[in-house]
Amino acid sequence: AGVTPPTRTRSQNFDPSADPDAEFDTLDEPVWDTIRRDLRLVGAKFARVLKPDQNKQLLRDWDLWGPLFICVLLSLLLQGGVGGPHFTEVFSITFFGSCIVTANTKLLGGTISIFQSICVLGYCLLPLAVAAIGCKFVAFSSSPSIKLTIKLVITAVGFGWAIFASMGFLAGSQPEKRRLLIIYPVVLFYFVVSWLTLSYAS
Amino acid sequence: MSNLQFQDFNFGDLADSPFTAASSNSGQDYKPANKQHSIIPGLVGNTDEGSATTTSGLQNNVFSFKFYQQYFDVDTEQVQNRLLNSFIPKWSKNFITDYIQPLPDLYGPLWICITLIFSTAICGNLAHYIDTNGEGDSRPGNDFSLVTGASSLVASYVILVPFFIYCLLWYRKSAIQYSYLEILCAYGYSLSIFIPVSILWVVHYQWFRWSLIIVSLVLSGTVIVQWVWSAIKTDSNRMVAYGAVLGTLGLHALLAIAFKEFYFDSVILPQGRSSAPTIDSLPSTLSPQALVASSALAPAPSSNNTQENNVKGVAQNAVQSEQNKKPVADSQVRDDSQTQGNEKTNLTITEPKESTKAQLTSSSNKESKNEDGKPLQKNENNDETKKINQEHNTTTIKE
Repeated sequence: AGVTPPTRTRSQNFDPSADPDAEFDTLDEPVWDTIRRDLRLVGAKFARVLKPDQNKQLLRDWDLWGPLFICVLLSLLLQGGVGGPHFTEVFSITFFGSCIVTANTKLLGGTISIFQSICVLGYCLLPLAVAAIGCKFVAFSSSPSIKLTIKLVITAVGFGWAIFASMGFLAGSQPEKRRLLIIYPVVLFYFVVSWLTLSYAS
Repeated sequence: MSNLQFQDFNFGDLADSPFTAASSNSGQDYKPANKQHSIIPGLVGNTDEGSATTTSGLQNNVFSFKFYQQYFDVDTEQVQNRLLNSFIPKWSKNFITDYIQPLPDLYGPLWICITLIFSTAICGNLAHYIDTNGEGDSRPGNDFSLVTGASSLVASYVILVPFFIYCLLWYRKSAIQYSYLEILCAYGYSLSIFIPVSILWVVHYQWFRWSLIIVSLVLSGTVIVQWVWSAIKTDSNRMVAYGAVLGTLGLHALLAIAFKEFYFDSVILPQGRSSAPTIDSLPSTLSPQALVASSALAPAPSSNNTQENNVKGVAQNAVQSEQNKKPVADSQVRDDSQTQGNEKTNLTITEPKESTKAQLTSSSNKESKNEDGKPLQKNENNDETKKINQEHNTTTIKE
């Protein structure tokens, strides 16, 4: 839209066969293009979490928009209510919980970098966010015990999916003798978020 | 063939090379590795620090990442070992010297405390849910403040009590002076038995809960007493030695009983906040209106015959008085008093931990003796506290 590509003089120091001069475009492009590109990347990562097949790509292109968005969504869904957690409490648990689990992984000698780990843990909260949305819709139907079982099933499925997805991403970056030490906090983290989902999403 | 000789690298001009260890004046590059450092594989640059090595090998800056990494240098097996031995007492074995030294780890205490916090909160909510038979759609029985309360309780216990023990051992110049982190590590691991105990506490029989407490206290308490005693038994003042042992045991017991009382025996109100056994507070905080209201409401019936009466009596009490648990809930209490009008009788103040718990233990002991397996016996407590209230009220009115 009227944006001229950068001249070769600017990118003379770079290998012309490589791609990086495309990135210089982003300063001049319309804001909507930037947002749309980021949204597309985030959406692609969502899809990859929901269908864990391509493991390594998520690790390489980490971003924190997705985890932030998911944490805010979860906090909005689970906050309030009678005797329930406040927005801050859920947000702290989800966001700083992933930070603490990441710190634990790093301290035990994991080879994954901090932001990659936070990114992975945050994105793998997506099944639980979906489960929370599902639980909210269940609340508008049948009798209490059926409601509870449906919620239980939905949350259990979300929990299992989150664990499966994060295991797929985190495997291979841990020292051999400490696998259980690294896996346990991840499981605990998703378990706590699942409990929050089960208890307060209604 | 005879021309082949080994090159002698110990020339004078090569002595300063960092690749030779021959020179005594090799500068800061190559101090002989402290045996602490040899078991820390991740710290590549550690020997370059050059500062004097302490006995615990803490060379790194406390703000650097490597400082904390040396406390996470454990394998799964080691953690399992420490975990199992923290509540299986072996005779004449010292938990700290056998399992924790030379290097304490912070992984165990950290994750055991976090697990304990969430297991007590989750199982406490579950127990309340079962007690109230899941009535109400909005699940008022799920109280998130259990999580925040539990975290304060557990964190303060694990951080402060080892500090006191460390100070005591240091002050008395005891035979074995453990480092603070070793004591903290031991305490963290000793809390591990409360995790399955808290899950089992969901079963709602008083005798079962008390027996769980006794068993867990015996097991983990024995281990704690062993290493405390072996450190302090050579003390010249026998009272200090016995006092230390009894004190640690007592605090351990108080923690367990506090969990049981506040989290598993208390009642969830319709407003969604738990009310623990009400504790009377200083009468000077009571407003005259509240005094009149309390004396009028005190003889309200709350027999422990039927559950409906029980719930009503407790609800009345709850409307009057909001009990805060471990965290500071004074502002909460004041807010509630404003929202609920001037019906407050028992404004509570965060009293010192021991006295509240001592009161609780005495009242709960009486509870357990009168108990015959019925759920929700808050009423005996409420009766007692109401009598105490009445006495206080009459005395203050007279004054």
